[in-house]
Amino acid sequence: MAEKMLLLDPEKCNGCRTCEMVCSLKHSHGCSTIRSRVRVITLETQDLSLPIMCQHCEIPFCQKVCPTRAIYRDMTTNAVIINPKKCLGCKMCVYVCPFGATFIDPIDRVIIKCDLCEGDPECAKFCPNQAIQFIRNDKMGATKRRAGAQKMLNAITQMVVES
Amino acid sequence: MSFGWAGKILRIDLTEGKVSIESTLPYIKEYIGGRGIAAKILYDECGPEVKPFDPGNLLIFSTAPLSGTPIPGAGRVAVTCKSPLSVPEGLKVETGFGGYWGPELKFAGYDHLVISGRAPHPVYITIDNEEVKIKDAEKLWGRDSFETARLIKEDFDIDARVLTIGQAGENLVRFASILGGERYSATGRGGSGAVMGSKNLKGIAVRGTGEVKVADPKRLLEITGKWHELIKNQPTYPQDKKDGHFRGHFTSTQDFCTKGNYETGEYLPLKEMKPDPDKFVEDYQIKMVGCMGCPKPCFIYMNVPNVPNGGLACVSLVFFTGVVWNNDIHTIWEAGTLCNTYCMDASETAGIIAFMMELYRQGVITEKDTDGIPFERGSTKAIIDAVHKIAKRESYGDILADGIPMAAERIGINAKEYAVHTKGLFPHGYLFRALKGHSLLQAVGHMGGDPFPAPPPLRLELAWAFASDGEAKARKIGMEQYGTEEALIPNSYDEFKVDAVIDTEHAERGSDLLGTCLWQMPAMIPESLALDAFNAVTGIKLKHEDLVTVEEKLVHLERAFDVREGVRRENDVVPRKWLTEKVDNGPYKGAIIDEKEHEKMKDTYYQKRGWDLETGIPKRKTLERFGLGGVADDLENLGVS
Repeated sequence: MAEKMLLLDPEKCNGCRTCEMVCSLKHSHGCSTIRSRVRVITLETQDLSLPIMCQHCEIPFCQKVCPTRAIYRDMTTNAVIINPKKCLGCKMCVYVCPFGATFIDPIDRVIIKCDLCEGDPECAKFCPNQAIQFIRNDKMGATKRRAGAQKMLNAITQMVVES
Repeated sequence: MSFGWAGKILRIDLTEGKVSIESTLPYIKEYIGGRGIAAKILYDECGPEVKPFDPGNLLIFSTAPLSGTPIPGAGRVAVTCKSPLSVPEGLKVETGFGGYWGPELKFAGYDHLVISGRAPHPVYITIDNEEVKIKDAEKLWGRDSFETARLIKEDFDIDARVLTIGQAGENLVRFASILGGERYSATGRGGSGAVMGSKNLKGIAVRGTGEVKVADPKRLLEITGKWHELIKNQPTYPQDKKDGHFRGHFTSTQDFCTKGNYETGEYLPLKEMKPDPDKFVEDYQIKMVGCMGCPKPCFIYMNVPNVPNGGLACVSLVFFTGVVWNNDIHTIWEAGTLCNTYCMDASETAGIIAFMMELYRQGVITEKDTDGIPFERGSTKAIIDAVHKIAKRESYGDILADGIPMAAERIGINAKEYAVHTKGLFPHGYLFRALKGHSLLQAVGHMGGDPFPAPPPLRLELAWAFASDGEAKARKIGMEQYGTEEALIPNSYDEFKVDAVIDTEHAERGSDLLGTCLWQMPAMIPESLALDAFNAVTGIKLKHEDLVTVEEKLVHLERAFDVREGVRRENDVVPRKWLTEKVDNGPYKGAIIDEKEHEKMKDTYYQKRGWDLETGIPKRKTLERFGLGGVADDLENLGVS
């Protein structure tokens, strides 16, 4: 089976923060935006919202800088994961993450980040707007490709009609 | 440590600049949360000697146990204070707003925020978890609510959530509101914004980084999933999700709505709206926005030329159409958004404009009284001018800013005859003359215009009008629940309809007590699921009977509060117009409220509630049954029972 990935879509997100709530409920057993592994950012000036979370990079800076090798890649889900038992809380991974997607849990005193919920992410399940989707890697961008193809076809048809 | 509740009530005395903390726990057994606890605090601390604009009036923001969880609708905040608009003055305001402010307050560690006193100069409050500051707001005073929220966030914390008042609240417009969602969602009825203005308080910003503890997280996730599913299975869901049923909200297109100042039941088809509503949405909509964790956001957020970007829900769309005879969508949007930037109740604003339009038509006023602007039916110029002038209390706006009853008094001549209000508030734009159950609810419900739109079961009285199988459904459910087919259909004064009214009053309080949304429970979500959610969050085993007991207790406590302010049976009346003028047109042509039948229903209502038939005051026996013996003593000491 093809690997699955998280797809985030700012055009669909309306900033409802359901993902934050279900994430913290699943991982921290309480509801708290700052214990969530996903954070919704709303840019009021542009009327835009987007959930920010780990992209599970192919070259994870966080893994590279981790002095205790607490960060590793899960071979089944391809998720980049932190082992809390090895985590020093040194915050090196927080500094280097280009998305700001590693967070400090103020209660457990460790670094937290998205672990793809062992291959069945709650955020994607609950997102009422499909702004977070967990889809096969070959489907990434598929909707846009189809929309793009439609536009091109329309343009071609138009040209044929006009000529 | 308790689950669900944050456990603390934050009190801020603006006169002294003092901050104190109280525990929520002593209140929860009797009043659960939200509106219940707020009613108790207001009853205990705000006697009849306190006038609405006195520093002694309290302004209470309340969350409930479900707030700050993923349960949809848990973004609601109940706002409680004494109303400057009601007749008699000082009735308990019951209003609220949605968005993200409430959960943020919970994360900061507080269930309720109680504001008292009056600051010596304009201030705003910042709450960063346990750090509470009162800051100078001189530079914010006079600015609109959108800008104020932005400036406070820039100054304090970009991740904070802010509620603000606009110029209307500063100018003590008696129906001013508080904007809770930064660019959408305001407290509606009763004038809470004016109370906030009278305290010299411009805004409250909250940033919370704590957590709401949950007793059974796994179960709560399951329930959330079920809840989402129930909402998504609603037949109107796809349309609601797309544009919030934008076109469905124009009064002129609903046959159960009235037009103008309760002048006609005439029904105008949608094609009269200009421009085409679907085109308007297509051109300007950015997205739908709503409350935390909700899959069915209520506010359509648009970028309309010459109007600040913002979101509006049904109320503005309902009131700025049929009520003011307007069929221009740009005008609806501009007037509705202005009501949010100035922060005043769109329903009351439109209601008072409708009143002016009727006065103009009847020759009671002329354009000389309104700065040369003729108040023709549906005039965009008149609508927009009035909104600006009311908010700023300029010229004739100063008269209107005091609400319909006082404005009628000041206009004089026979203006009073045209004034339509229940306990001082313009009623929701329904054809009440056909809806006998809703009319009873208007008469006996506290604070007039409350509670509308009514939740089920009584909502079926309306559903009959807009669903093809509505009548059959209403008859069937009436038979099942109340033993008669007549209980839920329009134009019937059936005595069992009173039971439906009572159940509706309870249902309305249920969602406020648990901390979810009136629109979801019980209309889409059965009470049993909401109780499951409550129990999963709190670890308490609350049953249906327990909840009903608290709901009923709350009805009596709120009534006792209003009785203490002077409400008697003679205040529990519907507007004269509904008793004397028949509906002239439309599907409910000829409908009118028969005073005798209406009074008979009221008798039945008082009897079932255990209130005195002559005065409408809760009897000692009734109050004692709910452990409100002290309240009975209070009423006796005042010599009212």
